[in-house]
Amino acid sequence: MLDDAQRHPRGKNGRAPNVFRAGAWIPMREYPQTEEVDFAIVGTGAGGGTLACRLAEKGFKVVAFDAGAWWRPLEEFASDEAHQEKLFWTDERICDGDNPLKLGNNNSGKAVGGSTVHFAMVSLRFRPEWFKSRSLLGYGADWPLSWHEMWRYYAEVEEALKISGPVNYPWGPKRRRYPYRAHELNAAALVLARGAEALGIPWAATPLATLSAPRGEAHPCVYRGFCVSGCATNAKQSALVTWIPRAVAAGAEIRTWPWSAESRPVTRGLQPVSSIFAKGAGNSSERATWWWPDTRLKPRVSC
Amino acid sequence: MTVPPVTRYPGYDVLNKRDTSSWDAATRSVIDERLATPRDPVFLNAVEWHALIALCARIVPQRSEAQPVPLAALVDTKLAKNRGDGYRDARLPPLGDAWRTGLAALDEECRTRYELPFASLERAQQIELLEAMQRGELHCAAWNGMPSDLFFAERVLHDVCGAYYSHPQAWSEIGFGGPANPRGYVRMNINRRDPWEASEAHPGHEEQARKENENAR
Repeated sequence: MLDDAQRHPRGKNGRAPNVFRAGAWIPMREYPQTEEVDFAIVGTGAGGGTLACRLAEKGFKVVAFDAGAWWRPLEEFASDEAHQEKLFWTDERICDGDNPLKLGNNNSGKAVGGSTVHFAMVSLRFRPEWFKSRSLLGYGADWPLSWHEMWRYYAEVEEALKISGPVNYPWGPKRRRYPYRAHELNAAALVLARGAEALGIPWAATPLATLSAPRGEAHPCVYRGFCVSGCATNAKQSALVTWIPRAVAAGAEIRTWPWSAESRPVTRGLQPVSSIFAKGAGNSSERATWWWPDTRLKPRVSC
Repeated sequence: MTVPPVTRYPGYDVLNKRDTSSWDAATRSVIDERLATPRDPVFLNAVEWHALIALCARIVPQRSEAQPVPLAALVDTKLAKNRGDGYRDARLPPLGDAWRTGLAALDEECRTRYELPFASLERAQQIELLEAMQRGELHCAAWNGMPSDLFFAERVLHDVCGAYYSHPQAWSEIGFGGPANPRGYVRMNINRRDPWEASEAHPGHEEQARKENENAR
């Protein structure tokens, strides 16, 4: 019962789960087999889910695919770490080399909403110097864009996800206050704050993507402590409860394909996170064609 | 290796909250199923099963007066369902193979030294063997090239300890609140306890803690 979403694709027949109400559905556009779309997006997490929403809202025809299930958090997320591993990408990845990485099983997600369904909600902006970390700090890489370019997008996303944060954030360039007030500090945070004050170090509550006030049909965070096992109250502003419903309302279609031994989607050579294939995008010669089983859409892609 | 101390949360039983607003229907069904884990192995054969039971008893010693957490059964269920981690050190075989190989190799090491399987050894001998395993010093052919220290760290500790702390009895022992939907928690500050949280016993105040824990629901 609690794994039904992994057995039966839910985004089909012109409807999708309404994640805000038990058992309810919302209408979803369904593109016919013969209709060409503008964008096919693989993965519906932080990258793909956001893109699907914004492109659909700009009027493009969008179909987004996800290998994971379209969960109903209010009914299907238990308060249990072991059970909630169902949100993780637990298909085997081999770690090799002189110093094999230990990924941790919550390294990436497998669900509509991707890893935002189980991420820990910390929502910091990059500081300006981190965009040029190789040149300025001597580690990592320089990003191909500057902090100036990103700043308004940060503001846009913080607004869309109603990030809860402090009125005054003591670091980085000037910024507006966060949309929702900061959460109450817990005991450990208060100890840290006291230590920082004793040392003369400024501190601030961490900006978090979980509600500190009601929003639509979701009530504020109740501090269950199961954030990384999936939020059962919808306080966490994951893509599943933010960008995805908006994308569907704007006319995007989201197709889920629960994996099984018998029916494995053909994604060889593709990363299941936010790969995007636009009609007419790769002008290099196309080297591969792939498709998703049981779909009527067969985008040709370069990879 | 010593037996863990008696719990610092006398009288606290996380299962008392099962029918309160700290548990939702999904959680009840998940925990009911875990508590009903079959006590007989599904994945391992009888020989491997005996080795696993003995191994679990050394990794997580449990107080004899308490109903023990069925560690071997929980591990076997994980193997039967092939619930992997999502990543695997290339030097280890897949989950089920690693366990079968590791348990067989452990028995083989014991037979070579004592002409007995692991489960039949004295406690001190078992501990000595496991310490050698942890140091990566076991190399008999039955390991099939799997480094024993890696098996110890990545499979034995990971799976046995993970199984222990997936059980409500372990939650009660450490005073963990357990499931918390829809009620969650209200009092965030130091030494402030919601009435449905475990109360820690301080010397001389054990009875007060016991009383609070009986009402923690």
